[in-house]
Parts: sequence; C-alpha cells; structure tokens
Amino acid sequence: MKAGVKSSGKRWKRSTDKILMWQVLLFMAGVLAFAVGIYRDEVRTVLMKAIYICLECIGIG
Amino acid sequence: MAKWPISFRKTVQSVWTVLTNGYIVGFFRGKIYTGKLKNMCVPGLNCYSCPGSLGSCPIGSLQAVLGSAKYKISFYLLGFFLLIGTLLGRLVCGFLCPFGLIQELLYKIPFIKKIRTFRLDRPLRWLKYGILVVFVMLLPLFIVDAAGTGSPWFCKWICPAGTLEGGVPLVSTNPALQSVIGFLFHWKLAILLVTILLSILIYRPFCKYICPLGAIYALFNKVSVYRYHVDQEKCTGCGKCEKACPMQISPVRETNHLECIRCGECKGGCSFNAITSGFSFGSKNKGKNS
Ligand code: SF4
Ligand code: SF4
Ligand code: SF4
Repeated sequence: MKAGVKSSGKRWKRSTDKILMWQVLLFMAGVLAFAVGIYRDEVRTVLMKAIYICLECIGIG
Repeated sequence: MAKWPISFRKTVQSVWTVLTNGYIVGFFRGKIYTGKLKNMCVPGLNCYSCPGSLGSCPIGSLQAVLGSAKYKISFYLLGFFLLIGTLLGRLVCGFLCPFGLIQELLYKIPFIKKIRTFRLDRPLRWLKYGILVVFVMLLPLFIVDAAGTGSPWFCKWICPAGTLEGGVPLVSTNPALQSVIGFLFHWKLAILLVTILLSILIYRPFCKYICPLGAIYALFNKVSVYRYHVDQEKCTGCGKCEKACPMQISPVRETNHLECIRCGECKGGCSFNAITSGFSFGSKNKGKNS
C-alpha cells in the first residue's frame, strides 16, 4: 500500500459524506427550481423561442 | 462474432444525435419542428433552429428566458442544470452532445501535426466561464430594447453550432432567408470556419475554450453522481492515462477535474485497471473499467 493512503482513510470518508451531502442538496434544489419554473410558465417562453426559426442563431437577426 | 466497428461511446453519441435530430423532413423543406417536445431541453448543445431538432437548446433557452420582458431569472433552466449537472456532470459532453461529436469527427481528419497543448492552453480554458457570465447572462439581461427584451448575445455573435446546425441548412434550402443574409451571417460563418479548422488541429477547441454549456456542467464535475475513481493501490504512477487524456489533464492527480468530459480514454490507457467510473452516491465508486 502506498504511504499516506491508510492515514487518509478517515479524511476520505469525510469527503465521501460531504459529496453525498452536496449531491442530495443540489438534486433537491434542482427538483424544486424545475417545479417553480414550470409553475411560473417559463416553459412557454422556451417553447415560443424554439418553434420559430431563431434569426440570431442562424446569423440573420 | 464480428466486432462492432465503432466504440461504445461513439455509438451512443451517434444514436443520440440522430434521435434528438430526427425531424428529417425539416432538412428537405427548410423548416423546423414546431411540436410540443420543444418544451424540453436536450442536455447538449443542439440548436433549436436545426431543421431536425426535436428539443430545445439549454443555452438558447436560458438566454430566451433571461432576455424576456417577463422574467429576470430562470428557475426552469436553473433546475434543469442542477438536475442534469448533479447526475451526469460533463458526461453530457462525452456522450450526449452533437457539437462535441462533430468536433471529435473533425479531429479525426489527418493533418501533418496535431496540437496537443500550447502555452496559453490552460489559462484559455477559463474563457468559457467569462463567456457564460457576459454573453449568456449579463448582456441578455441588461441590454434591452424599449419593450424590455434582450437579445441572445451568445447565439447572435458567437455560437458556431447555431450556424452549422441551423444557419447553413436553413439558408441553403430557404430562398426567403437567402435574400436577407448580411454582415452577421458572414461573421458567424467566419467563426464557424475557424472552429472547423481549429477542430482539425486541436481536440474539441470549442469545448475547451468557448462553450458556456460545458462551463456549467464543469461546475458539477467534482460532485456529480456519475464520477471517476482512481484506485491508489493499483496505480503505479506510470502516467499512461495522462498521455491518453485528450483534454490534457491528469486523471490521477486531477480526478473529476472541471475539464474532464468523461470520455473514458484514460481507463483504456491504464494497463492496471486502476481507473473506474460509474454512478455512485458519495465519492466511493463501484464503477467499471471497460
Ligand atoms: S445558436 Fe447556439 S446557443 Fe443558440 S440556440 Fe443555437 S445552438 Fe443553442
Ligand atoms: S463543451 Fe459544449 S459543445 Fe462541447 S460537448 Fe460539452 S456541451 Fe457540447
Ligand atoms: S480524465 Fe479520462 S475521462 Fe476525463 S477527459 Fe481525460 S481521458 Fe477523458
């Protein structure tokens, strides 16, 4: 085993917990924000932009 | 049994590109798909003005909402990025982005000398974050017309994906559009040509230096559920993985780096199966090396 690997075991476990905490937090925030966006009807703005040719995208507008 | 001629990743990239751009009649008619599927964004950079596109481009959509007179923040897109980013990080870049695939194919074109890295390579990688903040967020938000509407600055002045996927096929098949092209079209065509030429020389230059979508997903790479793990007990420090990495990062010292597009080349490069990847909660990885 490489030097330092064993001694860093605890630290590694802590970082695992921290990453898990971030994953849960960000995912939940994502679900919430996504739902709020749908509730505010932002989807309509997206759809309206997407179903007409975007002149800026194609270099005309 | 005969071996499948292209890699698993290339297969996924190609199938995904075809599936999400499956409105084939659009290419012949010079029109775009106008159905309900466009309520949803695709994860990669895929122009919604591409005649074949069945979904919306997340970067175009973000600018559309931020630039609208009605909203000044987009919860819908924020939620989308949080969900996709937390689950996949830049796995999207490696597997689910048509413009990433196009650049990779261009890099396959033989050339006398390919450029792996150069002096400003690393500092220039920060440019995409500046483009995200300035062109995708601030300018559409704050430079508005009398009605309070902002332009999609990134789409308008920079995005070569829009020119390639939307501009070229639509303008070449739609006479009405041909009659109105001017300076902007030529400007965007020039950016596209430079991107194509650079992509032959450098692996994914647009992804490395310019793409605001890659910049967003990069922010999640350190914590995303799909992640890489290096088994320190198996790693001999030979450096073969680093040589194999087309994004020029060290998979061992910089595991899950912002620039890692989860392409898996490092796994293939390692003779000791020290690198694995997979979906895992927390940093522990139960992934596969294949
Ligand atoms: S021009 Fe580019 S950023 Fe804009 S919608 Fe098209 S692909 Fe997306
Ligand atoms: S960096 Fe942008 S263009 Fe490149 S693969 Fe990722 S999303 Fe696509
Ligand atoms: S570290 Fe590995 S997976 Fe990430 S970009 Fe480099 S080769 Fe691809």
